[in-house]
Amino acid sequence: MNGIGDYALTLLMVLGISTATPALAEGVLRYGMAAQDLGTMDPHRATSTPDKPISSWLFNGLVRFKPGSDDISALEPDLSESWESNENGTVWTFKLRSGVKFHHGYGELTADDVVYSLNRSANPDTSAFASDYKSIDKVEAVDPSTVRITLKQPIPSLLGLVANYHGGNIVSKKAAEERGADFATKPVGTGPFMVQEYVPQERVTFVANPDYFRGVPKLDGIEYRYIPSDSSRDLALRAGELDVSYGRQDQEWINSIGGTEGLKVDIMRPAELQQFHLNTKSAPLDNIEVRRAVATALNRPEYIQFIGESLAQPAGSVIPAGNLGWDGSAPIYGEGDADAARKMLEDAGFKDGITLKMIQTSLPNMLSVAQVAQAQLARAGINLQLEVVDHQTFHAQIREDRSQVVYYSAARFPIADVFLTQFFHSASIVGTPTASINFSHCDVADEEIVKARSETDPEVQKQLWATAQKKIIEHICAVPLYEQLIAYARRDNVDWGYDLQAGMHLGPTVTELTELK
Amino acid sequence: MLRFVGQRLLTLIPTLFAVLTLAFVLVRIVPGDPALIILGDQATPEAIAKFHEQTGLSKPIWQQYLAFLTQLIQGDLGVSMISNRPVLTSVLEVLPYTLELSLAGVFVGVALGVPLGVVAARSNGGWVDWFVRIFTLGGLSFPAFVSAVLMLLVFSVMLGWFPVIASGKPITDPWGRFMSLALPATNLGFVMMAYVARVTRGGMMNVLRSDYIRTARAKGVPASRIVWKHALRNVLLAVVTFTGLYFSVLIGNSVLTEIVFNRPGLGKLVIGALERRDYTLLQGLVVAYAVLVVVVNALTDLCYRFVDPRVKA
Repeated sequence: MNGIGDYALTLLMVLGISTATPALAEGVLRYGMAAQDLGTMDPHRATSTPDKPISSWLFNGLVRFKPGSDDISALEPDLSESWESNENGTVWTFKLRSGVKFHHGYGELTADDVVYSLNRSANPDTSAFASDYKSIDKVEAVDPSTVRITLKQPIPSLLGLVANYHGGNIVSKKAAEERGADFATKPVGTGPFMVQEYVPQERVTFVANPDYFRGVPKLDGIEYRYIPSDSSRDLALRAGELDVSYGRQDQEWINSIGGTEGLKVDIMRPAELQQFHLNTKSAPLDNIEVRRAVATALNRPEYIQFIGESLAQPAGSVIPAGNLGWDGSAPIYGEGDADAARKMLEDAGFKDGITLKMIQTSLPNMLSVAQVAQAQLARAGINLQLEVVDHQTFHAQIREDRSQVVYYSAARFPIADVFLTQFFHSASIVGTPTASINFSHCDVADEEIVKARSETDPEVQKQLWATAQKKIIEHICAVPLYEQLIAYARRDNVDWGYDLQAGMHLGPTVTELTELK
Repeated sequence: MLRFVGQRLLTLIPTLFAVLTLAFVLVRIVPGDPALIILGDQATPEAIAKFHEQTGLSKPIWQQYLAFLTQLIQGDLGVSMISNRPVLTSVLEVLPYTLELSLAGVFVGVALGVPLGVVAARSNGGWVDWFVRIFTLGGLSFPAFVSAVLMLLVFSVMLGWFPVIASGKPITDPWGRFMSLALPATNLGFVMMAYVARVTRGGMMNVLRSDYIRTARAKGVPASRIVWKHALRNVLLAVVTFTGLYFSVLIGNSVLTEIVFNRPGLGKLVIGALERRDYTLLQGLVVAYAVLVVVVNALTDLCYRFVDPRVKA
């Protein structure tokens, strides 16, 4: 027995010594993401949280959001050096930066690539964002370094459509045509990093692009690892096997990671607006007094306490704060006054209270918020019946107009028009042929939403958006509960190279300046 | 031998057919739409309709089923609805990892379980027996995902012996591959060890009471030789039967282990396919699992012949 014991001890010691220092290339950022696998690296198809950060490493737009910022009024040159538009903003001309090279020897960027990319984004067969590009009439190459975009009518922000976000990312024409569907795993862009290898269910590795036009990246590469289990990601981070990790979106996690030596928590925008949409056409919610009672019974400050102050911020309107055109001047119900709510119900003829049906996703974070609401409403005699289903079922059923109350969490392209159109314009009402995600059947602000879209005077436009928000709030189509930010963890030797306030791609952007110190 | 395997494969056909039909219908009855995954939650109705047309989801379900069967007979499992990659490729890519993990789990289970069971039986009622019974009770009652996290915490984070991210290492790095296999396999094998130890102990106690053992003792054969050679051989038949049956359970259990230890594998693939409503990939995985179970059963039968030459197929 002794012999075996000695042997085992020796073996363990050998194991201990040989694995104490993981042999990894210096300067490779190890980034852990909460996902099973890659969806797609095609920027015009990437809609999910785990797929989006990749786009920002591989691609550029004609203009870009400053790293760490989500301010659409502060866009800066990216692939274009300069741009100008005619007086009413319907014709835009972009002068391209010269000497920009595509990855993997796909040659220099020309106006043809830009024309191809924008047309690709506008085509529903190749793009998830085609509807954003509806108002583009044509995109032309004036000469190899000049692109002209003609619009059917003026739109709130053309620059937003050609920024390094969603459909604005510029792909290599030659590579996209050659690779077809394979472009999803073998994308070619102009960004600071390029794809080296994709191992399904495991990781994507990126290497620094030595020809990047802003200079050679300080990092040698990025290893993007798919680790769906929250606890495994945390353990890997603590064991020093990850440098950056997608966080658990709750205060307890933030406190635990934030209190660990060598680790830091990054909290960033965009905030997702957490909102209850009330079906204004379904009894008893078709009665505005009943909706007022529901809103009054909900206690909005309680959610911020519940989620935690670092992650949650108050919601001031029915669109997310920071959107161009956001207006927080209209007062919102939601102080949690159960007695007042009960009284309103009685006055409206519902002495015995009401019952509302709500189809609810089983995603833990969202379910717990719905349960808080359930408890708050119960105090006012409102029985919120939760029908808990898995996330995909939830998405399918709320689109069939089967839930009287819909709890939806969303951030959109930061221009009021997008959020207002999708959630509150009558054309978007669920169950109709043009349906988007208007769950409340709201139709009180159609005029303002449409007018604002082609208004060229920014002040008038802002006013129209403000009126639209006011009308929606007064009609109580939706009750905004709070806004939730995004949390990531990193080792403290990770230096992003910029001030991280926001990540338009729902994660920290890794730039040529990012380094491991 | 070939005939034996052939017969086994023939019995596979009706089982597979039933399982497949069930899987095909079930995934489509469950609400949810792969189109929303591909196109995002802002997808327009036109875009969704177009996707349904492209993937054949707009056709009546029986037409989809016929198309699927026709494809399958030609040995084609189709392509994933989400990633567009051939299903067979996706399955074959990760199959080695699942097999490796399951086999290593079985190895741990048997290599620890059998000796434990034998030692316990020999000490029958003594403190060793008592200890083994408590120890195996732990294995039986500890949920695998809890023990997995505990193991990671102790051996990876605190002691730093093993990597937390046990992702697949290439075959060219056998040491790395072994290191990333050690903890998950131990975790998976721990539960099995408990069962095996109990089966072995029970069998051993019976055999040790039988006449031929008494005879061997009377002849003066050393005790350890009686136990490890004469008695154990007869107990092994039960252990093999159990292992064969348990192997399919093990493949199922490996799902959680794969997720916590972040290993590629069939289990992770199934969870991902379910979450994303990847109908075609799910169907392909059902085929893979069914084939695996049948193959394992056939192998178990083969093993009987080696353990006990009296058994004829």
